[in-house]
Amino acid sequence: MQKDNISNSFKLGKTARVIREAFYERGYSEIFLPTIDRYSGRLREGLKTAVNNEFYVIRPDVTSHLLANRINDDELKIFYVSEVLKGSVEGQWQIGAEWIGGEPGRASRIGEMIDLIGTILNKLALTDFSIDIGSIKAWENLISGDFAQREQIFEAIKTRSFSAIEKLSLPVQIREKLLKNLRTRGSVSDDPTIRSVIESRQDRNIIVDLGTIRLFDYYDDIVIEIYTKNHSRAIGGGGEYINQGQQCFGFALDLEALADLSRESDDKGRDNND
Amino acid sequence: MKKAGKMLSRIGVEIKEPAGRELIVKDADYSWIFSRVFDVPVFVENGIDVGITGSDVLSELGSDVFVPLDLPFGHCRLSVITPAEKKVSIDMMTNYRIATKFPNLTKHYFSDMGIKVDVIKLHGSMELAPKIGISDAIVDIVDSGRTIRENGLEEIRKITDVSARLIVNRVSQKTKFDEINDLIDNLMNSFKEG
Repeated sequence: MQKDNISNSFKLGKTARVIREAFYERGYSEIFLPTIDRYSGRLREGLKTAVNNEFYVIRPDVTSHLLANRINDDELKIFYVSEVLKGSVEGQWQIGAEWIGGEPGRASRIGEMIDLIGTILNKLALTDFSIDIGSIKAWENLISGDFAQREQIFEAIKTRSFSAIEKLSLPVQIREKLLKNLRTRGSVSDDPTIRSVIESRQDRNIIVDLGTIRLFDYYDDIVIEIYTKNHSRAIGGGGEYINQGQQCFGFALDLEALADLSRESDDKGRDNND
Repeated sequence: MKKAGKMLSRIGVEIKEPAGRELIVKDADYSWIFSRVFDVPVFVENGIDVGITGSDVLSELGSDVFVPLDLPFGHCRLSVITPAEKKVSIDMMTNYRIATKFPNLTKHYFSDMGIKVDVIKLHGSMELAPKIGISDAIVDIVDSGRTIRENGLEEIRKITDVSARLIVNRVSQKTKFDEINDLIDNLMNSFKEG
């Protein structure tokens, strides 16, 4: 059976057009990075390949691709539409944005980008979503005295493994705090940046969940994960990072998931009107 | 399955078993899905809330799921096995052909040791492969070791210990947070009681 890439392309194009409008309205410019770039240890995901004894990565993760480039501007607000290969020939179409540098404080930057995500999802008629917010530093501060087990502790947190945490040789107080953090979810946070984001947004879709830390190693502190109960995987994620000493925040959304969810939402709307 | 049923029964959750060959059975509270152990992580990754599978299968598939609990059953080991009369050390296995249900784990294990091997994926009856000459060795699950002994094979190196795991879909963990945490807490308490 022949593949139907054309119909799929129309579906993605329709959704991308709606999202592009939201980015342009907020002053973001679209960028086009090369499909293939010389291998660098900073690039994440993508498909590694060799040509004439030179190593390359095809369609890497876009934020890591940006960070492997020199950025001359003091402030950049950019967005992209790209297929990212997940270490093999399998890819995921992503649409995402990065806010690099500039004057805003951390909480304002994060809050504005979360607001942008909400605007995008609403434009796609998706209202039943949540944005979880977590902090990598909250965990790092907790285990700051134990670098020897850092990797195992973070692996246990990422997989939410209560058993692995129980097995680690940690002071009782630290272990209890790790287990408590994994069980904590709601609208309250000790972290001043998260608290400021929550208070300024007053949005019940934003939930504090410190277990939200599975993202890339370039993330510095605050990370987010976007999901809906109508889809079995996260529909997006993002986080704070530092580039050339500048504060940055970026996020990526799963374009195919959004296209499917948006179409389902349209179908439901039509059924209700009939 | 029996051990999983017993474990859940201790915390007041009764698995509704199929009367015939149904693969999905519903009761008042849950839908129970009965599948091959290799399919469980795939189902959970793609939307089933909670599953029970082996740590070997999880490592092989690299599934993107939460793994909150190690369960107190399904203990065995994944090992390198050769015909008893052709027993060699791992270091001597360069260019060996190895049959296994776990190609990714096998490739990683030998690659980490700097030994180049050819890996053949089989779906069952691993013990046959060296007997009929399609492989020099196998990587397979060993429990008591009786099956491999009866087939003239010998376990030469354990790769990893294996046991059952409780796994949870990443989005379900968020959307059914209290329900899933209660399940985990109840199980942990029941393990502590022994």
